[in-house]
Amino acid sequence: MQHSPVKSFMIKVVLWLPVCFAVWYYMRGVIGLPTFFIVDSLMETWLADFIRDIEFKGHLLNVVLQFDPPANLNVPEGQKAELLFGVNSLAYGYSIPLYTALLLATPDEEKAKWIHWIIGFIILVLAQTWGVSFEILMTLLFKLDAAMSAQLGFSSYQKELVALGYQFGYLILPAVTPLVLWIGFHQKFIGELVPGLQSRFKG
Amino acid sequence: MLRFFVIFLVIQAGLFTAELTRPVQQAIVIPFTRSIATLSAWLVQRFDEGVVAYNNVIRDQGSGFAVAIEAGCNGVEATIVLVAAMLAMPAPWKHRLLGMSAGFLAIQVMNLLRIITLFYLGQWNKTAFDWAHLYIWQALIMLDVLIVFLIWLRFLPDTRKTENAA
Repeated sequence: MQHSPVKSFMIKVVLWLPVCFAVWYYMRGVIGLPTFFIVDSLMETWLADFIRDIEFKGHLLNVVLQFDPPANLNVPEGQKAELLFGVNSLAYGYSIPLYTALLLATPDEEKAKWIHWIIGFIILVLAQTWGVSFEILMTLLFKLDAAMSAQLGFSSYQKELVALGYQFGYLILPAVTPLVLWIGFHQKFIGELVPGLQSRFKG
Repeated sequence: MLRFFVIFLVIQAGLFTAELTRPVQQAIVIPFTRSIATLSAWLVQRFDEGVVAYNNVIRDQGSGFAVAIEAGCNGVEATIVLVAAMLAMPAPWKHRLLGMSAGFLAIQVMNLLRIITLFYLGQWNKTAFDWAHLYIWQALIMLDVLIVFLIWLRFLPDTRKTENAA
């Protein structure tokens, strides 16, 4: 009886997936660090007047805001108001265990697997950074009091771009990036799964 | 391969942006999402009579627990990814249309399973619901897209035979 290569591959992926998710979750304090450092530097550079601090707690990025208090808020004169909200960075990072499971299920040399994983991890961290950064911006612009959001000085056109960037970072990037990376790195293997594919890509 | 990726990303970005516009939301996405909620509730009612659906919400009348089907939960984005991949791949239009139809069905069947399991997981345990909702099902739906795409590729006519015959 001949087994479908696609079926065998997918069974391996599904078997690796829970292992990868478990490792990813228990290592979240380490795996999430690169995203935290990049988001922290980005926000410190661009929104230093509004974001006083970003704390990394496991997988939550707690964003501490400072702003001129609105009229209905009692704050001692000369001081700014502060507000804290959290962003779940894992919601943008499930691509990492998915990509790792795809790599582990693909027959390849050990060295190549590591290289593909490291390159993929860097790109997935950037995708995660995109998602987390846009969620912070989206919260600042659309979830705070209008008077507070206005202090950021974004035009309506820029707000639309932030909304689009947020949706793209939440719905598309974490889902598509691991598949694009896997296809890009494993054309030969996909060619074995799908005979004749290489000639089609050349076409 | 580069050509495939460029076309894929352009089509995907175009379809995704179009999906977010108000006219497309009003005419297609919102009514479609509501129909998914109605269909999910109808399926659940086959074995659980205490479930009702209104707009995009499914509610258990006994516990009061409800889930709202929002953007990202209706399978539209997964369908966009699959459609973009099939359009980016050189293939006869007949195969593309068949692939998109079968792929749409495969994604929606998986998505119905996702909604129903989440509905019951949520009533059982909030942590399990969050895990399944935010991470596990997201990954499984994309695996579904990948499987459909790979199977579809295997059904495409072999261009090598055509080239050799010519």
